[in-house]
Amino acid sequence: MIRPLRRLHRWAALGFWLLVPLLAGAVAGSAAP
Amino acid sequence: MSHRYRAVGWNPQKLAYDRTIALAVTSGLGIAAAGTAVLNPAATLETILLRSTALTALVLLHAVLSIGPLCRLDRRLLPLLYNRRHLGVTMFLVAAAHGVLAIVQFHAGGDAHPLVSLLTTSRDWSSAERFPFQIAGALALGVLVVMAATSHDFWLRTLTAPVWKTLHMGVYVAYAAIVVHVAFGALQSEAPPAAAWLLGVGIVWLATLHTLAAHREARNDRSVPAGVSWVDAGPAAAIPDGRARIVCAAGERIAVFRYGTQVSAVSNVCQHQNGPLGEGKIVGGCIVCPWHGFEYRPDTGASPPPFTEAVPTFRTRIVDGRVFVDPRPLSPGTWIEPARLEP
Repeated sequence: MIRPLRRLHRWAALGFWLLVPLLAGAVAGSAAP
Repeated sequence: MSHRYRAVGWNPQKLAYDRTIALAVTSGLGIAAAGTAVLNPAATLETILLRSTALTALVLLHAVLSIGPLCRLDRRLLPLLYNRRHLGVTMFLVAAAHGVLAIVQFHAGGDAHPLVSLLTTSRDWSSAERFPFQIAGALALGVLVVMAATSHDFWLRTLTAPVWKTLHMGVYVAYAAIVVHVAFGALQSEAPPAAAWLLGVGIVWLATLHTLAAHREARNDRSVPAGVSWVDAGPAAAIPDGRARIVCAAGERIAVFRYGTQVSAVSNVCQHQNGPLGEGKIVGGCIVCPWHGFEYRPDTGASPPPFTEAVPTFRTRIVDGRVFVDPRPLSPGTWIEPARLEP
């Protein structure tokens, strides 16, 4: 039970960093005419 | 250990903690949604979602900020601290849902990009009626996303504990921004006035808790001045078996542990996140930090192999049943023969 949870936890923690390019993309997109 | 990967210590307590968070958040969202729908029958689904996520995130933030001082006031509450990071990340997720909903609801319908619209709808900082409270909310979310993204143990180790802790004190910046966000939102009737009253109660609650905890800390720290060669730590029998008494000497806190007939003293500061070792207990021959379970042997101050952390140790002696501690710290990991109580 613990090992898959640990893997999920690691992916979830990594998933937060997907927000960075997403936000950067949104800001860049907002600058376009 | 500090230079090697250490997996997150999942255990039944942490799982129970997470189940409690999930239950509290779902019921919080449900109650807030039902309350909004009953008090405001004309509310649309979007309004209900916006308000229930706002209220739940606000209550969660107060819970997160209460845990620190509550644990200082009563050590029985220490289990609350055990997985506080998950509570913080959950709070961020609920607040982020609120932010995304608000942007979609109020800023996605126009010609301008929603983020441009968010930042430019109002720039009238001097007017209470048109104060851009949404920018304050966005600022709070910005701080919280950095904290949530660095909450994993990997970042604690990579950034080192002092940097990580400083970064995560940013929660108070986020709290200040949220106070502005809710107060001006309520003034502009975007949020019900009840939200502002609730926030007022929350501010008083947090300020009281933090003041009480600081007062308690200051009282415990009535320090013995530098230069005193042996500090009286009180009767050995007064220290419960496997527990410690914390004494403060020359500005440093020392945890004096009694285990059976032996007494050892180590620095009170855990190498992991400066947790209070003296509030932990000895389990299986090792002092266990009450915050995250780091372990140290009481006589050497060193973590058991393969771990490499170590805390400074102090010489102890027992005279007429009273424990005395030499306040000069020895190098971390230095073995000191425990003082022994007469059987």
